[in-house]
Amino acid sequence: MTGTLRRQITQESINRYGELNGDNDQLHYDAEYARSRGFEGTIAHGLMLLGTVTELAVSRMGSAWFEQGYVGLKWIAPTHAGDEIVVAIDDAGKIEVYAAAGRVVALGTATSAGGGPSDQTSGSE
Amino acid sequence: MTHPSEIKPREGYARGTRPSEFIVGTRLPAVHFTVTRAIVVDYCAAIGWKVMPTRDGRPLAPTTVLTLYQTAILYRRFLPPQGVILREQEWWWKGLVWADEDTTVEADGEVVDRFERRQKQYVKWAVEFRTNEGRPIASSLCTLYIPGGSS
Repeated sequence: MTGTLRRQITQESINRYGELNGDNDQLHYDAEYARSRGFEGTIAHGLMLLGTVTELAVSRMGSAWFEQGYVGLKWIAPTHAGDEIVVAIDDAGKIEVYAAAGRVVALGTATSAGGGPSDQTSGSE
Repeated sequence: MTHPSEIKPREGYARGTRPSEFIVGTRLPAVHFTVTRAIVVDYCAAIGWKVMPTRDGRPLAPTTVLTLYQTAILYRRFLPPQGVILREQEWWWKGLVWADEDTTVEADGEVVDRFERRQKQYVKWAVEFRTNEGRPIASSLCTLYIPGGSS
């Protein structure tokens, strides 16, 4: 059974996250600059999505997941201010993150497997 | 208390590192910081985390609170340019972070790869997070797109 979690991404939430983590990259705050770089507008911090993915993962796998779990996420498209994201994780641990109009923005895996980078990597692209 | 912005060099205040200047094998020196209860609260509010996990009735911090500090490990050695894009993250969780106490953390790492795909330059680095007492908390691998053209 697939679990899902929805979250609204706003410019305010992007600003709040950036203020907290100290990220001053103008792609997150300056729409004109972001458009000059080929985006539709300002983009969310990718790690905001990882946080939401993790919230859903731990709700499905329990707190023990934070002792020996794994999560990997690859971003394939930007999330913009104003997008509502939908995170979905199925029973096999497959992660899909959608934004507006079903556009896939990230894919990944969450498992209860432990280990470390030398034991399990998804490779570069 | 360590606010992430206190230990992370910010984009736009100095020339950022060009892709070719990231040297594979470079060790990223240890950074020490304290994840306080207040930081955990602020992190959960910033990402909209609704339901805190618990263990035996005690609140756990989302271990992803460490992501707030992750780029500081790289950027203290290689100053960040504007326009960096997150490409991929992998995390292996190894120990709990409690939400009702402060946790002192030591983190260090290494640049493990630099590669080009479709005329874009990427850098991959690893970070190990542990408590100051040496208890492992997490391992991570992160891949970033670094603007600046082909090497």
